[in-house]
Amino acid sequence: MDIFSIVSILTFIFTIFLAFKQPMVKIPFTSRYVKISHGWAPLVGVAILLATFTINLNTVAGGIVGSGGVKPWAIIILIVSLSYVCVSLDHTGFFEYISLKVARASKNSGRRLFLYFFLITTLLTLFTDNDIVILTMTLIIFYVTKNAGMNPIPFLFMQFFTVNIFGTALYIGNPTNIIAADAYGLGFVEFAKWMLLPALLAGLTCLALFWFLFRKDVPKKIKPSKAEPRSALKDRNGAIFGITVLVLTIVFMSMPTSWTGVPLWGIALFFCGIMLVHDAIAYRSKISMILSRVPWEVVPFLIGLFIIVESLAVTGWTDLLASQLAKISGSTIVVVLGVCFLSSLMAGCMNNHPMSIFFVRALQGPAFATASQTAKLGSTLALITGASFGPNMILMGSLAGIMWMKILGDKGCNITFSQFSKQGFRVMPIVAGVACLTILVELALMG
Amino acid sequence: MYKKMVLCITDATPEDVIKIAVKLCEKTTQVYVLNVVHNLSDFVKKDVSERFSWVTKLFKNAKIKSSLELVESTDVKTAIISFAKKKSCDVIVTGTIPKKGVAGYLSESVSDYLVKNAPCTVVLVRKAGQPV
Repeated sequence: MDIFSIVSILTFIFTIFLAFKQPMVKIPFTSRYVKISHGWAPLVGVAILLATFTINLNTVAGGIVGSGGVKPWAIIILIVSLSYVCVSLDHTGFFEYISLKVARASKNSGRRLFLYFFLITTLLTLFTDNDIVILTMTLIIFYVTKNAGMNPIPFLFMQFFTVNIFGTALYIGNPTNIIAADAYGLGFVEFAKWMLLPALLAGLTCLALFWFLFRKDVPKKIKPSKAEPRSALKDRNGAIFGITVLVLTIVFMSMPTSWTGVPLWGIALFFCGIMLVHDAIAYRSKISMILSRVPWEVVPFLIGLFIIVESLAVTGWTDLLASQLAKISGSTIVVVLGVCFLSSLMAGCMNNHPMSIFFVRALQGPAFATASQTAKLGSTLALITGASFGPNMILMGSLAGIMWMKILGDKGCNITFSQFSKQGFRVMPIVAGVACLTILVELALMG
Repeated sequence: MYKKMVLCITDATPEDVIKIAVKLCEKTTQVYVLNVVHNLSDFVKKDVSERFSWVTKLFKNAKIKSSLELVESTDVKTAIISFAKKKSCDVIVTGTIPKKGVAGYLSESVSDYLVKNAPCTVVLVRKAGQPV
């Protein structure tokens, strides 16, 4: 441990604080303020590291170009391209339409509504961006439950937890999946082969547990929804086009790269381009609004984090974690459970993106190189699980959690961190246990 | 007194905020009752008009011109500022949402952003006894 190690870890902690706090800073000698948003916070960290000579320009380049199978630039292109396709589809009102359709199908049964919302959240999460599912579904669930005279809380918890759990099922479900899968070299189909079943069983366990906890809050009879689903659809043709593009993107991404000859980021970028051309023709002036909804801040956010974690790797912090993990890697059961629960808790404390990048560098490090192939694969799968499950235990685990809480706050429905964690720690250890057990059985049978 | 007012409303806005806004108006004041929505569909237009009809009713009773304005955006704070600039408003009135604990510390405050970035006067209405 030297001074640079201390500076790099303190900078990492400070960066995470800035990303959550997003402070407004007064520009000296002016009356203007600038907001350090979560996206730009890691670049402040990079500036500190450069100014203190903790890193040099080679480390910065390494953070962008990547190493050991992880290509930050490719991950960013993939995430932004997929986000654009989903944002554009969201703009047509498709998500509201499908949610209202589901609400109407449940007629006057509160229990059926609970189940149907679970199913539609699962379906949308599997194939689209989880942030968009949270943003749109939260508003619709709030609307439908309020109008039906029900307590929205059980539905909102079920929705948020389901999004994070089923986000682990497919490669495209969560950016953290892409980070971990790319590091291990898991493709789209191989990812689904390992993660689909754990996600499914974990999701069903979560549904059963929530049903047990909230069964008294979900009435048998409710006022049927009067909302006309079609009135939520702003552009029917645009929605059909968007769904077609999304399905084609997923189909092509699920084909082996040897067939298509195009990397996954290339496929995503191609279909994003098609969607962009369609939107430019169909929506013209509104294209700028759709573009403004793309989470551009993920670009500086991830690049900055990759560089900062690169500095942690150079100064020995990731090796420290790797050496501890290597000690337990002799037992697949211990390493899978250990990585899953540790990464869940760390994601809850520091957000799942930096946690995933930090863990990936540790698992790639020389200290973990001696671990068996099964332990390495098990750790990667456990990391994917932990990165998505952690935000269900502690709201700080993902930026989507903060957004969810804010949307509800604006609706006058305040959920505190402790209220959230109370439900999270009741449910998620069991859910994570089921997911880990499934992963272990899969490793034993197919590993 | 003010000529053009933006009154920001959400489902959490209490009646007190509207009453204060009414007191700040003259008979000639034009009030824009602003609600920022995620997607501006026919469903949302109908729903929001029904939910906030009581607000425009309060202004009507006070014989003040008001109109419900819906703006489509995912960024509430910048949407409010842009709207106020576009309509050349001279005051923005909004309520405050109390947030305690870690959530309060980490949550981004729309009213704080408005105070620091609005091109005009900002009136924040805090209900008596409500935490800051």
